[in-house]
Amino acid sequence: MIDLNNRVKILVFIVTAGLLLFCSSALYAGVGGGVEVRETVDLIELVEFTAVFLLGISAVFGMGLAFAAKKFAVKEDPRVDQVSDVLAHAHCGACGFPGCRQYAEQVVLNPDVKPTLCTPGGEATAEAVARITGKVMEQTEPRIARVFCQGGCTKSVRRFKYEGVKDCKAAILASGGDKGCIYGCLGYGSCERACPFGAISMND
Amino acid sequence: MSKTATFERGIHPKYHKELASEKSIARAALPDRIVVPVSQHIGAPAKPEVVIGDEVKRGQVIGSTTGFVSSPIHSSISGKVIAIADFPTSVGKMVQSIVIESDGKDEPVVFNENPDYAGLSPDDIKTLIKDAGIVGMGGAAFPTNVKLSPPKEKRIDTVIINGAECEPYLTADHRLMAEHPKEVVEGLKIIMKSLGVKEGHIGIEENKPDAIEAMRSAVACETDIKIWPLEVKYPQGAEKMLIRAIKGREVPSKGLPMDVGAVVQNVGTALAVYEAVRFGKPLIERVVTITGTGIKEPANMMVRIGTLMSDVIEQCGGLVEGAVKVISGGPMMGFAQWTLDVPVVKGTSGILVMAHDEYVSSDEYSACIRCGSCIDVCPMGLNPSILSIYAEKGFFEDAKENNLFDCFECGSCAYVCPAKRPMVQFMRLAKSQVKP
Ligand code: SF4
Ligand code: SF4
Ligand code: SF4
Ligand code: SF4
Repeated sequence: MIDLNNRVKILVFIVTAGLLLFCSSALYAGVGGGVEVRETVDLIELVEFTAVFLLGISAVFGMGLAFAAKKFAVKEDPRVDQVSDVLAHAHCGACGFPGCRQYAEQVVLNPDVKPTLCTPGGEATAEAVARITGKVMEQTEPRIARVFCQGGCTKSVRRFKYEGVKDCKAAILASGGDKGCIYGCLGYGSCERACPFGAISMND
Repeated sequence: MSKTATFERGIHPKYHKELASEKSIARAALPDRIVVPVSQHIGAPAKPEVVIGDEVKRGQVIGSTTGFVSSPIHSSISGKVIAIADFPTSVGKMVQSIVIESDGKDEPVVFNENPDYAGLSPDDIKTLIKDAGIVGMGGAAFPTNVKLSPPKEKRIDTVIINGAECEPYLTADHRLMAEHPKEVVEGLKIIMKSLGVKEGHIGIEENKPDAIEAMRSAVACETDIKIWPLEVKYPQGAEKMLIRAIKGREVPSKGLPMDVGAVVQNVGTALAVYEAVRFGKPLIERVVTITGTGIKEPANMMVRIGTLMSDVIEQCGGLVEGAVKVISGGPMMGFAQWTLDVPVVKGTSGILVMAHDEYVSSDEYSACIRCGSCIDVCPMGLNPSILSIYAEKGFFEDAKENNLFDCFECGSCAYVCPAKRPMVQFMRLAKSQVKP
């Protein structure tokens, strides 16, 4: 939305009202078009005329729009909406599509797109998508990434006893963190708290 | 005097100055090896001017400046460069450092003496200070010559020497004033001259009567210099608090002392300035207080820059059984260390070792109970409670809106917090996540 301050808004309002009044009074007074020019202008009558004129115009355009919407409506498979409703709506792209809507369309229309691609949604989502699209859902083991370096808490020593804010961003300020391995995960779980889908969890 | 000068709010921690306040400054032994980080100051790091295998002498430049806000570094011993690599430093970062092995001869370079330094121009003085690699020695380590070159539109009318030494335990500045008052005053006069300022002040907390006495007699025939006994309160020695106490001027939010026409320099810096201008001596050693209940024989020592903490601690009898925490600097604003193999640098005012019974853990901190104690003590008049909550919840922008960047991490709020919240760390966390 364009940010207008009050003074500008008032100005725009006055100008619009003025223009409307001018146009309709021009019509009313019969300026142009060779109609006989009136001598005096009756204000009440002018306002009435303006109102009727506006109502008429809006009715015409409204009907036009309604007709166009019906006539040119794009037919969409109702299942796309249904699928869209059950996705995780993280718009994370893990499915390989730009966003959830695109995945919903493709999984409905394209027989090759699997129903199990929404990772954040997990098994429940995959089942629902399979049911709606009528595709077979292959039983998949959840794929879990795991850090396998030697920097874990069980392997890498702590250089000192860290006391303070339990946050990796804060711990790193104290001598670069207490982990002996400077590459190792500090393990204070800032990432776990940041991920709204519970995709990351801390163990050892 | 009815009421001594001070600032609003602040705290009264236990000082424990008695551990080292009577110990005269002793010279630390010549170290076998020094590790000199190229960045010991605020600003651009120095560029190494030596390569592995080079022979260097005491006082020789081994790293040159790389910008306006930068400072050169010098060797504090004579010997051979054996490594140039990243080493841990006392502020917790890995920094490129030049390692020099002593040849045991301690040969100096020729220093350019200036017996008639009173005739030097302000620009000459600033050049001498810059070439000597002098930085603020109270801890912040801001290059001194930069502080002495304020932009033209800032008119400076006052120089304040900071002898408050409000950090508990530390006594380095105290001993300097008691033992070398004349040199400190000469340093102040040189600084005043370089800025064209007629008014000098020296602020000292009242718990150092001998230092006040010594400084008073040193300025007996100086008409422009005044000694100010200050109330014993933390953080009295913070620049802004000192200006408030002595000049009654309030540095505006996000402002600097020069915005109110003042320049503040630490006692140690004043001494280094004098030695640099009079004797041409670069900043290659400093007074360090080695203290705390975890140290066998607390002491004040003149330590060469680059000496490892472990070396210095050994000369003080080593650590006692049950020493749990080593801090570079004071207990309020210092940095906890995880290894003793870090060098003493230009900004190292103390090495503090705490024994178990002195140590308070903030491991099990709780949510803010909104007691308001921190608000009562914050010398900057901030609301540390809300800042810490914003930082905790990740609302860093909101913290910034609440003047986060006026916090200078004095730790008063953390000291009083009954919930044991790591307040300063919250502030640092927030500062690291938003731009000022
Ligand atoms: S993986 Fe799921 S949540 Fe992520 S974009 Fe695809 S459909 Fe949306
Ligand atoms: S991976 Fe997560 S827990 Fe590990 S350091 Fe990064 S934010 Fe912290
Ligand atoms: S908020 Fe900052 S300035 Fe205020 S008491 Fe806490 S550390 Fe000190
Ligand atoms: S002192 Fe601690 S508990 Fe009390 S208001 Fe401040 S942060 Fe909260």
